[in-house]
Amino acid sequence: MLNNLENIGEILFWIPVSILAMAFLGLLWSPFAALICGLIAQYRKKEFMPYAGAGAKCSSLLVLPWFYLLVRLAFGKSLPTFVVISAYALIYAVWIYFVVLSVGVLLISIIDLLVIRTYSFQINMIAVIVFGVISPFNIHTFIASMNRLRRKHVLDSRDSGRTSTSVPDGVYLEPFAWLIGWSIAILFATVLLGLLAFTEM
Amino acid sequence: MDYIVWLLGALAFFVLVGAIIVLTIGIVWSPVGALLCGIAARKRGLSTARYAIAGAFYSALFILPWIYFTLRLLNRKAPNDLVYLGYIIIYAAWVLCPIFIYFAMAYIFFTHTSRFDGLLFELRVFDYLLAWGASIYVVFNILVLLKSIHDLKHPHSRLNLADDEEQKSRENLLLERRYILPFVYPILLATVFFVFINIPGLIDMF
Repeated sequence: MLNNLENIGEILFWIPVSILAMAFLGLLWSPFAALICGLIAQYRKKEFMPYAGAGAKCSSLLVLPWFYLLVRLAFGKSLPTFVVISAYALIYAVWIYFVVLSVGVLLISIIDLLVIRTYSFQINMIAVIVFGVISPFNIHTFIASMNRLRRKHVLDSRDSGRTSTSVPDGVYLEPFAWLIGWSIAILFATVLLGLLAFTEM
Repeated sequence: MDYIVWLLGALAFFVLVGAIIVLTIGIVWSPVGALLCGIAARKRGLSTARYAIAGAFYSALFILPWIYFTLRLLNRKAPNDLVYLGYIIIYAAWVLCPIFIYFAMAYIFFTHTSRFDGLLFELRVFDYLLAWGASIYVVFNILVLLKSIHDLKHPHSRLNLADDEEQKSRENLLLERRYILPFVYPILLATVFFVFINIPGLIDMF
């Protein structure tokens, strides 16, 4: 019989896997993304290479920034604000989920202990420690990323000339890169714990 | 291996005890420290109450900032070696405390496993809470430590706030915040941790 931690382990496993699958698709799409952006840039009398490079980079970061770049390049307009806000809200919601995960693992371990009583103490303890160690790093990067994004946005709003370039600044892309990085870390931790549990069985 | 574990654990424990002794001496000394700073400030025509309060505060932070502050008030400069030594001691204690906590946690974890062998489920809840809290505390401690060292080395990274502070501190002789924070952080973090670690004990008591 599966205990609660194993059930949550499955959910834990599939969320980072979904994000990494999206990142992988974006990576596969990046040569085409680069070509499309490069060609549109050339058509608009801009340099081919910088825009092709930006297209590849934006595509490999969960595709969403690429749509933004494409709309700006093709139509010279930004995406509607609510679309941009929704994309960041989605990214940060998943990131908050990773932060809260540590509390979830602790609670589930306690429930396993007190209610089900068919548990593996050492595996649960390792899970609690691993996610306990991960969460402060996660919180730190989350707050740092939000602050950098907010400061950059305030600076760009003041200086409207800086927003006229089509390529999004690195700071705007960082949350996407961080989410991919944390997905890899969480997936690695989950797989490791799963292997430990498997070898114990 | 056991020998090394015990040796490191004992070393970290003595550092922790030493830090608590110095902190207690500083707190006990703070009224006297306040008085001396107040008198020295008055002789220089500065606000007595303000410098007395600052003296009491610096004395309660492991005395070292108070020594530096008093020398400054007396128009003397503390030797650089003394200042470096102070920071080395504080950072060494700061690094060793998390090590001590992890060894203590590992000790409790392994002794519980062998002693109770899965019989006392409720007791294990405390082990989980302890392991979780200690993990978060240790990482958080390391992050704050790195941030503190960074701020000490690069004052300009904090939106030029430190520049203004440096200017003000030259004018009013009080110490800059970035020099004081390495003494404040360990106390704050240790207080939070010891409150947290005692919560299971308090729950158990009631």
